[in-house]
Amino acid sequence: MPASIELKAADHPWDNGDSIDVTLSGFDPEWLKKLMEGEISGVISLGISEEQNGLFPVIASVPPNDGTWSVSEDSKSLEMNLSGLKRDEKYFLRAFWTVPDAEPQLMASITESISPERQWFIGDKFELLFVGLVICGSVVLFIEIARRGKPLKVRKIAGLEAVDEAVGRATEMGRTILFIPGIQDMNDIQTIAGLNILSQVAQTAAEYEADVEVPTDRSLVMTAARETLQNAYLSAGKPDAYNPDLAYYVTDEQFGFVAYVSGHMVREKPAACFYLGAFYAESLILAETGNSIGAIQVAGTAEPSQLPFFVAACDYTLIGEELFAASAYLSGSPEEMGSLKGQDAGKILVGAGVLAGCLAETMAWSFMASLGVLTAVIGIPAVTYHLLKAKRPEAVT
Amino acid sequence: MKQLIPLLIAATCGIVLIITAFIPATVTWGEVAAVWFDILAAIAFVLGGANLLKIHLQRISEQEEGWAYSGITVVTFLLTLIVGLLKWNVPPNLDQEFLGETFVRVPVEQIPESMHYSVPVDLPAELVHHHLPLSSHRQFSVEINESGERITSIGFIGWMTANQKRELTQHHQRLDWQCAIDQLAETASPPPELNGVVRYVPNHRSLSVDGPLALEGETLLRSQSETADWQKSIDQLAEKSRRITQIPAADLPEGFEIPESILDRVSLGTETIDISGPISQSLKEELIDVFPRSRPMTSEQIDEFIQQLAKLPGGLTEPQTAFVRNSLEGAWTADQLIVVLNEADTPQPGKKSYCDLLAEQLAGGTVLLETIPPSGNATPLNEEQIAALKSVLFDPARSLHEISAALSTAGHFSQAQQSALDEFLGKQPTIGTRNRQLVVGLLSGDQQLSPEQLDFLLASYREEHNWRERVHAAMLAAHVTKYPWSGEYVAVGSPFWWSYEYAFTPLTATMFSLLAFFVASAAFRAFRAKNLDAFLLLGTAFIILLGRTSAAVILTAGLPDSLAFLRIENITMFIMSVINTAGNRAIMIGISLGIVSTSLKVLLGVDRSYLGSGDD
Repeated sequence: MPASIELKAADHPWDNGDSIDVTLSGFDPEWLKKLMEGEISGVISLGISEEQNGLFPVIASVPPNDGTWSVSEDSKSLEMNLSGLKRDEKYFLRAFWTVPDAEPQLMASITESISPERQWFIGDKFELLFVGLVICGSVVLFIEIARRGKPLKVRKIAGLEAVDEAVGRATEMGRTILFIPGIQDMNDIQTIAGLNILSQVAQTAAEYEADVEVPTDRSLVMTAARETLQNAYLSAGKPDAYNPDLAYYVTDEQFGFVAYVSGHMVREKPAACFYLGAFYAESLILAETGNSIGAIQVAGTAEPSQLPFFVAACDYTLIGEELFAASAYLSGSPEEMGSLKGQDAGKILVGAGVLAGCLAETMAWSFMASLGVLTAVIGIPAVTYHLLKAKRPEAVT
Repeated sequence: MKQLIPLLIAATCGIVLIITAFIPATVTWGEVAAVWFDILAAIAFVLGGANLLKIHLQRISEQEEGWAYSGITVVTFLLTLIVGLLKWNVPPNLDQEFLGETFVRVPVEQIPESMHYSVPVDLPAELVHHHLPLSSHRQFSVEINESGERITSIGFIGWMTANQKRELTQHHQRLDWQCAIDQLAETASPPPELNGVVRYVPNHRSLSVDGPLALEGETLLRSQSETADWQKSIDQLAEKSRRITQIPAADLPEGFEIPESILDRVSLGTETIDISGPISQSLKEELIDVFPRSRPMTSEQIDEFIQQLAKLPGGLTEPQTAFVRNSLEGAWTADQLIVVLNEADTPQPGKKSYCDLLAEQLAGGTVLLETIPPSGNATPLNEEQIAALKSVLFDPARSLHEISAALSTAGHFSQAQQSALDEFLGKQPTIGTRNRQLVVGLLSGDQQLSPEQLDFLLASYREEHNWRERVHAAMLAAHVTKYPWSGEYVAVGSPFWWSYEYAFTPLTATMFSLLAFFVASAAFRAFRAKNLDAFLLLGTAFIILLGRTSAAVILTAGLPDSLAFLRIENITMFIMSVINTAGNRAIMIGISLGIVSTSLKVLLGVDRSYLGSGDD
């Protein structure tokens, strides 16, 4: 049995109060290496008890290492994280050395009890919180800036520019507009984005006196779509034109829903079809059916695997974040436009991170060093240029 | 106001869900919010279903174009709803049925006073600050002294099951607690006459009896309480547990005898076999286990078997003969059994009780070990026993059940060895099963067997199978269903399963298969080289499509290793794993930022279009 082994235990920091970090130190590196490779016959076991001189049933042992144990860099210590403990309970630990056909021998123990404590924050998520605060903060900041009247520019999005065209076409042809807000429930943000766009499309359609049909595959979405349509018609000053049966529930089942919608499209031949939300395998069936009836189609989804199908079969496609920007784009509301700018700040952050990471990997630098270099090389000149441009007086002609 | 409340609800739930991701103390709030959403969605389904019925019934009544489709929709909707809700013809889940046991509902509050047990203890009160195990929390109780610092007694209502004892014991790793639980478990156990027969099942709040309730047991149970509720419960238990099930006694297996251990429950009449009480899995196994097991065969016996088989019409080919010989020679041997019996007699380590360990601790022990080293020596089988064993094994006229008697007569034969013998023999296939395995091997490849040979080999297996089916049917007939609606909706054979398997799945597959044609038509339109971008798209699609076929591998297989990167399969992999992944990730980053922004707008109430309007 190895001699002079020390057992230490400490509360795992920034957790839910159910784990402690255990370290067995003082091993001879060669001996430890042989043990972990199975060249030494024997097992190190860790026992736990709520009393110092109690029974210590084994809760972990090595070898074999099931992945919970790790060897320190100097190969003199074994470390593990012991989880599944009760918060604020006092525990004692002992390490035993057991060889075959012999009784376990006490190797090391702790004399003071250890209690896992719950911290108020989960430490693994510090970075996530930081990034979240930066992005959310920038969104809130730009919303506030927009509220104060600063004009904000957004590039043209062809699919959204075509909404008026699509609605006008439907009105001229005397046919309906079909709007599908995806096949997921209200807990999916894409569905909410789709309904936000429905509000704008319905308002335009109400002004043109065209009907918007919204078949849904979730009951909650049907209810929300009805509210959206009703208020859109009300805002357009056409409350009598609203028909609650325009938003209806079909079925929860994916292919049952698309079978109904496809058949409906072939029979009723809507002039314009909007597919804006979460779609999966049925995306191409819907898009191709719409193409076959000659409808103008605008699609948008945040499912990257479905985007190629929409791009191939639809007239206009909102790719990724354009779906989420659509509501702001169509409404033109300053607060919503401000949120788009806030998103851009997040993109700059991500872009900087990607570039810094690539530089760090390529040049074998640390990440912060790479970020510093990028800031010096690109960031400072860019900011300086921007400031100088702002200060330059207008040319007098 | 109309929009304010939904906005507040949305904002509160959203913020709670964000907080729960970071603050451990609030994790349960998020779970509650998620559950409330599920409840809301379930209630909303009623709205959706009602809307569906309304629209389609309207179409039918107004005879609009396509009203027949609406008729089909309504009929199938109602059929599925009724068949699914009622779980029509769905058998109960056998895991919940406790085959062989009869239940009678006895809530914890109705358990008689005589079945309330307690032991005095002196333990710190903090031991019960944490939640007690769910299996025991309704029955377990403590009494705490006036100062609130010490537990003076622990109590239990009803009889403690092994699982409850284990969970309570593991609730604290302290010997004083564990010893107290041991003592409580010993106190809160049924009388010896009822032990192993009657138990209280806490999760089902029921009193249970295994098999028929004996009169002695019934008297004991009645004596626990005079209350009308309790007496009525015992009446029901006795009545339900003593039902007689009958199996036709025609075509019984050859040499069938009722095992001794179940003679009190099973009786053989002229026309029927009567079984008293429900049939448990172990009783069923005992009733089924009446067929002889396969045993080791000598070379002469193997030759005789092969000759018998070869003499039948059809004969045996050389590979078939070799297969039969190898299979029969590869069966278990007497030596294997001897090794098992010798090992079974090896002394096993014992285990100290928690109270013994506590006493050791109080006496000053610091390193406490739970196991007691084994004592005594193993006694291997002697020469006489080995000879007796072999004489039984190789004599087909003698039953394998005679082995234990022969070994006991010839020398030392312990209970552990008897158990090992039963276990070993229980694992060996019956003669019918062995012959069936032979048939499977003999028919492999293009080999054949004549009908006479098949009859010869499979006759005993058929008998076994039929008997097994009859006993299983009797087990189900003797069973009183406890939870008729516990079965799976899609239990094989039920009408719901049938409609799912033979109507719904083919229809879904049909719709899904349309994608193949739509992909072709979309590709035909999209992949046209009108400009540089389209040409690049076409070229990439061509390489990827070709790279997925074996033709591409053949086309570029001739390239040298230095140009291996130009092989189509490698180019395909490069495009998919580098270029495509890069594009995908860029889109995903944009999507993630869009999700953050939209979620924030919804939480802050900036974007209220989904509620109907952006106006206040």
